[in-house]
Amino acid sequence: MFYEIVYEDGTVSVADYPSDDAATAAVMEQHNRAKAGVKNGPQEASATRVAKVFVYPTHPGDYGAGGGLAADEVLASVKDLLKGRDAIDVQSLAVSVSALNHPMVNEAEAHESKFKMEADRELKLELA
Amino acid sequence: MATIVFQPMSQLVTDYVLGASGTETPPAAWTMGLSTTVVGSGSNMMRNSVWSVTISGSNVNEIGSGTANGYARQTIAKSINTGSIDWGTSTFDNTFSTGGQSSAADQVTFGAFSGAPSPNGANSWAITAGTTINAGDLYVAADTAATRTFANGDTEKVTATIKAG
Repeated sequence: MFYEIVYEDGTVSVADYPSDDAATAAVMEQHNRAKAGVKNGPQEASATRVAKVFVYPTHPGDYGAGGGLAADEVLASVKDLLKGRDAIDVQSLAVSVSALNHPMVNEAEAHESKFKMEADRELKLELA
Repeated sequence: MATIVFQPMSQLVTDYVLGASGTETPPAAWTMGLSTTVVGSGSNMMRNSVWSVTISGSNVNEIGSGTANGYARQTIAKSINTGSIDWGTSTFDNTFSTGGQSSAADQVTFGAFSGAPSPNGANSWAITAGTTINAGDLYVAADTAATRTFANGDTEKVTATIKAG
């Protein structure tokens, strides 16, 4: 399973753990190091508190892999891009269409997922 | 710190940027991986290196292929300053011999690890495509400042800067 770890500073990391127990052990170790004010590991930067962890069956970076998206999703997005316009720069439109299968969202909330793929669930953690 | 630009990145410039190729195109998103292989100076990684689980010749070997223990590739969106993890505003260096246009990506975090990945010991990071370990096109790589050996709870933060000159 893949786990998207959302850190308190808004950064995220995707990690591959064999079980929820392994994920919990690793995340809590990093979180507790942050609370104790110690280093995060071999890079010797400060550890960072964890805000949330989302669980996915596949790597969330695989969203749209291969370039395929549902036709109705593409059509709705193109309609949105053309809304209220009499003309549009076709190169800009091409770039916007090309971005539809990017796996990451453009403007994520600080402590929410940065990926378009819908998470299965949130890992329950006692992060106080 | 040694760095290398692999053939797929060079071909993106000649075929996609110059010629608007429809077949040689950049991936939907960039990903970053950690490798046990050092960049070296021509005897380790080479311009035509590929990812491989087999440590031999100029192959580039990724950590965590046997046991991930929290290792997974990190995604860098193909966009500029949008709020997700992506690239920053590029800057220009006019120095004749070493100048060019450069852009720094947002920092990515590997882990927290839940134990030692196998293989362990990152000697370099690489910008690549896809999330499958030891697979995907290689674009650029650079040595880490020191070998990074991971254990439970460890994280590794990497900030990539690409300079085209």
